Amino acid sequence: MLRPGGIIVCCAFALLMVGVVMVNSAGMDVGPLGGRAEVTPQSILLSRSGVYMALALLAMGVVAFLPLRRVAEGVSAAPADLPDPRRDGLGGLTLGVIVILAGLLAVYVPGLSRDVNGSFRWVEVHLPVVGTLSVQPSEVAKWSLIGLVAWYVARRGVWMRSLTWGLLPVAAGAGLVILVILKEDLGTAALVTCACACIMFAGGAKLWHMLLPVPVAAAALAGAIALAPYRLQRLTTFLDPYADPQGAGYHMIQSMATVAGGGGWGRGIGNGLQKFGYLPEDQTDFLLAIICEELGIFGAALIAVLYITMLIAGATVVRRESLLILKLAGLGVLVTLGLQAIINMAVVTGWAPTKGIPLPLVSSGGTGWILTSASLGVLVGADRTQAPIALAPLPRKERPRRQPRPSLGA
Amino acid sequence: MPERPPGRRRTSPGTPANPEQRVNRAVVAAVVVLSAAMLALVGRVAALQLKPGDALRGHMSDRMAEASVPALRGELLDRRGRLLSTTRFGYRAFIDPVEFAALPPDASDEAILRVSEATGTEADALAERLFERLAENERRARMHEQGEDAPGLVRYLAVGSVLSDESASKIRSIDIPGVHLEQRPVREYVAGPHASAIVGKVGFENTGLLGAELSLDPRLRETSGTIRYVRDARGRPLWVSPEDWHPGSPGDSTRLSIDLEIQRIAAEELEHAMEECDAAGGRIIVLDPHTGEVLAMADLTRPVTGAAPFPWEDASGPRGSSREPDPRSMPRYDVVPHPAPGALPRNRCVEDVYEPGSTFKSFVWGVITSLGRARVDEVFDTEGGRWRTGYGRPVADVVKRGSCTWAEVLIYSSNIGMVKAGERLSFEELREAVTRFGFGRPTGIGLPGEASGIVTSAKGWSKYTQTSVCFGYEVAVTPVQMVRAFSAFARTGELAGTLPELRLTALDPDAPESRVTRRVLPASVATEARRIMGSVAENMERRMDHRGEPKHEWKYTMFGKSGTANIALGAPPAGFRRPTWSNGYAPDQYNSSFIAAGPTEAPRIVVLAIIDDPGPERIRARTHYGSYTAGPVVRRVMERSLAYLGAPASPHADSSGE
Repeated sequence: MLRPGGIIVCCAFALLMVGVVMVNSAGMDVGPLGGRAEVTPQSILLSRSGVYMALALLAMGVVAFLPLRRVAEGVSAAPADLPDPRRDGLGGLTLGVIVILAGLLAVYVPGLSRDVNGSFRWVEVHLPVVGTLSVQPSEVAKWSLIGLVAWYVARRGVWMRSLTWGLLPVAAGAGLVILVILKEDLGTAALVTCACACIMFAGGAKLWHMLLPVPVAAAALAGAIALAPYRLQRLTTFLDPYADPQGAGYHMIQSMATVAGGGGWGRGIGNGLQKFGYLPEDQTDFLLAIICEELGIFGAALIAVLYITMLIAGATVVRRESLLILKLAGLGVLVTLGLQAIINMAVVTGWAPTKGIPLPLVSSGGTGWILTSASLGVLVGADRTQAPIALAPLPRKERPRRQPRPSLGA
Repeated sequence: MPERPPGRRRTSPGTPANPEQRVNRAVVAAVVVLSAAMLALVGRVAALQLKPGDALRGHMSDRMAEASVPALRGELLDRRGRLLSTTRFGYRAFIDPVEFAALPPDASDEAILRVSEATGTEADALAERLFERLAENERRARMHEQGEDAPGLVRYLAVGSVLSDESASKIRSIDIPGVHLEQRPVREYVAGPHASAIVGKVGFENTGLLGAELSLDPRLRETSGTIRYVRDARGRPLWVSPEDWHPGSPGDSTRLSIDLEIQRIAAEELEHAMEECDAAGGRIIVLDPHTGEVLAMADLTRPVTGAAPFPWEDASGPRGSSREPDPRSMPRYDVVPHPAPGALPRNRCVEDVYEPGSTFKSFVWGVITSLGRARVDEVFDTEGGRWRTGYGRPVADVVKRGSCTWAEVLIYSSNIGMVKAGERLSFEELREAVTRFGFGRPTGIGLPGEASGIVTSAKGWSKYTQTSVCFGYEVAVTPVQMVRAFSAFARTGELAGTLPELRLTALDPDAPESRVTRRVLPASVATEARRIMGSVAENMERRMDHRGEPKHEWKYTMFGKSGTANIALGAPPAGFRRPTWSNGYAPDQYNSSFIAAGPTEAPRIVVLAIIDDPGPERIRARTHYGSYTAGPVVRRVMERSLAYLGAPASPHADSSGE
């Protein structure tokens, strides 16, 4: 019987595989006869995305086999001789926030940044052997922040119930990072906010404490819209895309038309039409639309089932985990992954305003695949070092008759 | 249970602080919520795919584009399968102003120069047209921006006409955005301008406009095919399903009745004669009298010096404002319509009428003879060439004789003899005979714009009409009506005296002709008239010999009739009226014609030649008559065509017999 960690690996592999095939399908182009290499299984596996898939699986394995548990135990235990336990972890939190912010602000360093669609989301690192490596700092910051928050919440323990000494420092630190992310990437900012809030809440923060910044956030949202009017345009477009079908509403309408074009059974893999210049971002944020067009409802259901299976397996690992920091980190990873998938699906099907947020493990993107896989590696690693599940059938006579069914995590 | 954290404000001690349980609950709740949302989104996908809304449906497209697959128009061939007109594909350059607008302004001038050089068009005119389109596109784009209703942008501006292969490859090699080539069908008229009267031409979009190209258009027209293909966002074709390709079918090639060689002979001889006679125009038709096939047809005009417009009187001025010029000066007026530059040429062989003059006597002679009102050997008093009818109308003859037999009346073309005999017919009899020969009705040859000719109505038919018709006036006929009517004399055996149906397409030897023919004369009268008209042709041949030409040894005998008629002026232009001094005819300008068939013993062709308006030199020398001007044309065309057709030489007897 497969362990939950194994199930996570299988699901991730399956999602990545779908991603590789569909990214290659969406990237199809028809050129003059003989002018272009044919698409074959070999060409797909050796394509750029095939290589990224291998790197992603490698990253997952590396993280899974790191001595995570020992490190986690080490960092989450507060030293015994604290002068003031209320200030425990504040130094680490500050350091973490500074490091994350430094990474994020690298996009504004002239030599490093790359301008894509008017927003600075990419950093180009020129390495001597590998060549140019494009990294999305917000992607790195997303996972780092979740780790940082999980560490802080676990370390603070019951102090999280205190607004001043528990919640406020971490909320302020995370809020600062999120604000910087927000500047360029509203979708990711919203996603990280939700994930962090979940960790804090699960770690003991009080609900009414957490609701305090909602008015502030609302004001911030209004400010963000005021700063970049394209966001407001995206919002109004979302409400009535048909008002300007050739302009602001184009992307959303084309995305829905692409999904609808599948007609239930799908056009067949490789047979989609919208990828030939009609649907923008068809390999990245809107890959799901191509999947629905070519594979029909089955394609959408396959993706959903894989995610749900992965979530359930991940939840099992989290429940069985005894170390609080790993529990919270696992929760953060699961919420981030699931929520990101849902936002992407909602955007593609026209239930949410058009946002640049990829479908995790599927939409083309080397950084995203590698980092998401690495984060899942934390769950796999936690599972690897947990005690084996006692699934061997109990001897018949010894089995108690009216015992409630033990939960998996018990 | 952990210790309560110290602090100024204590947290509520009520909740059991079991962080593990709290995380477990949170993760289960999160997974449940997330999974439910995901399933809902799969439901959303299903809803979109199975039942897209109406608004969305309007934006769903199968991304198909349709293009037409051009096919070739049918060819026109002559009766022996020689090419008259055919279609090939050529390339024409066009500019997409939208793509062109992307050029920087300083590069666009040079681009226009290069395009105009490659296509041979004028750069200034091209630039003007192009900038006009660019400005219009900018205007429309502004209107679109402001949400106004405006037509789509101009995407097409044709440059020049179809290019030579060299120019096309030059256009292909210059890489200017927005400059493209498109395929266009080009009709090539292989037979040249001589055959244009019958072949006609095609207009825009390769459809028939004139002549056989128009009348046979349904047969010649091609059916374009279609191809439906999936296109990408830039309109480039991606793929085609087998069922989406429907090749077109070319038009049916059609053999016309004309013979390119006879056409060439006829046009050549006519042109030669027009030059010799200083004529303003000429028409010729060669007909196979048995099948009704038109073997050749040409309508030529020629610029003449010294021709002036007729001095019509201003309708608003007083009567008599236009003075008659001195008749001795023999003024020459523009009486032959020259096609205006740019206008469609007319085919005067079917579209224009003329008064046939003495050539018409052959029909009247046949009618009087067949009705038994005159015997061939009956002697008519021709009064020495000058006579007045019972109602006082003067009638004169060119050949002045004291008396003529009824046969000689036709041979010497005596107006007096014809009128005297004609008075033995009732008005109805003569009028009925004229219409029986097919005058006053179109022949239905199948060429566009055919005139029906004019025969005076029964009500308007007077004694003047009776007299005039006897020598071929007061009746307006088309050349095609004349050759068909004359076929009655040229048909042999049982068919002698009947008319054929004219046709423009060659007879299919596998589909024997079964057309009803109309009898207009008894066969015996037709044969008799043929014998007598042989003398007319012989007289004409003698005249040719007397004019200093070397004596001809004609291989084929023929019979025919000459005619010379004043040219009617037609209706005055708008705002003008006929001057009082004019009788409606150009005073000293003539249509000189000759109609003949040969070989006499077994006629194979009928030839009608009309020399329109021979020059004043001829008129002064009294050699403008049909037998001097048109006769030699007919004679030579007859001789050369029959030789070409391989007709056996006529047996040379002293008299032209059967």
